[in-house]
Amino acid sequence: MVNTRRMLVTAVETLDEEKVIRLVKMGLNKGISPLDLIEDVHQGMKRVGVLYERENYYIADLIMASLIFQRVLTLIPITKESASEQKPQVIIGTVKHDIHDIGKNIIKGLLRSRGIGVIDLGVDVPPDVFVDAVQETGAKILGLSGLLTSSYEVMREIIDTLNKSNLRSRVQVMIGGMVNEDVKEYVGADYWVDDCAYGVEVCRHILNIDVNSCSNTMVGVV
Amino acid sequence: MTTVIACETIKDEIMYVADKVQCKYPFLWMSSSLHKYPERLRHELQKEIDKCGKDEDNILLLFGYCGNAVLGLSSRYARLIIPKMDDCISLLLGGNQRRKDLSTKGRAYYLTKGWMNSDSGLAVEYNRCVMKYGYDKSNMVFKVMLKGYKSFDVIDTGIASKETMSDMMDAVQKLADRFDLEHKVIKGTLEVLDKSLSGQWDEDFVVVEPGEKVKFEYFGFDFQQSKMQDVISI
Repeated sequence: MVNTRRMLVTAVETLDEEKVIRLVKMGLNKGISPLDLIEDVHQGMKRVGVLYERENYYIADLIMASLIFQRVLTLIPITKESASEQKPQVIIGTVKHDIHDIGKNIIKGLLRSRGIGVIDLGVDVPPDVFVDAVQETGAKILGLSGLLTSSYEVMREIIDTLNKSNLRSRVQVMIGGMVNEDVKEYVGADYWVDDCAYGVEVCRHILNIDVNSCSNTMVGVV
Repeated sequence: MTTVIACETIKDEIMYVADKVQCKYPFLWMSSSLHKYPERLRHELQKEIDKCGKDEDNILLLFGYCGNAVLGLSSRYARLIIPKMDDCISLLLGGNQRRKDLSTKGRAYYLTKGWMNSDSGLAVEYNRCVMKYGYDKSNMVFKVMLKGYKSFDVIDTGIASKETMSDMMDAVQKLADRFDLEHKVIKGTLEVLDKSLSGQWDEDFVVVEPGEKVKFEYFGFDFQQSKMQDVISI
């Protein structure tokens, strides 16, 4: 079992899609926990990220890694049933005027694989759709994704509308993409993430404690 | 004294303008590949700024905001001058507003000669992908990369020869056909570069005094009235 898991991490790292699928199926047949298998795939993806940082991999390789991850998720039972059966705790979407969604899709998969219900509103999502979703679902986390400079203003508009609708105190807002502490302050979010695994940690952290007592500085920044 | 630290991606355009306005500033070039890593770009920029001595009055950074890459930069002795642009696409289109106006016609994946020829250029990346993964998988990868775009828009600033433009358009047409996108040439401008290298640092520029840091709000992000739909090329 240990060997299968180690091989899985390496297969993801080397972006060998067919081998990854074979090993995941083998792991499931051997009774390895789906969560452990996803964790291994995730470890492999982190190595892909490191290789990108070292300029061994390119953007196309990052996308290939995300495609492999999406395919793995289709094999994992908990993920397949998640959309309909898990109570929505996180609303996620790429904000209006932006269409970048690779990171958003990965974090959605990681959250669902951990049993956290996610409603994905898609890309190019208008502010009122986010606000309506917060109101209707009572989700505790709103994840706003954007890779463009123009997305900052839309994020700010969404949070302003939450304030005006008296919904802001009901939800923790996490922004992701090309963001940092300054952007977080500018748009009025609670957290910023540029790493999917860290985003999952933030969500789990928020969901395990009372939202109102959650400090903005409680979680460090990647 | 003024020193220019500039992005290699727009080197041809910068050198054309420098020659035209007889700019005598010394140039320092930053690799195009640093755009993929904004934090690293910021670090490298700060390193170069720190190398400038007390006799430097101005350091002209020919970049845009570039994914937060200029945020927090500071110089002990010189003023930092930065075009108030999102990135080099806006810079070559003549400003953020022109880009917004153009974007009402649909999402464009902008291409410039510098981008096309860089290590991150779309055709270069596609060919590399095919070599590694084969056609089928590469097409899947690029469909993800180009999802939501309507067209490839090639920015023509007028400095490329007819032959060069024609070669570029041939390459772009092949990509457009492969991914079922439109393609067209749009007129660019060198006006901002012209002002940069002539020392006309007006409202299109962020000017940061010595000892001060480049702040987020200096770039005046205000897109609320816009119908912005375009996306930068990567």
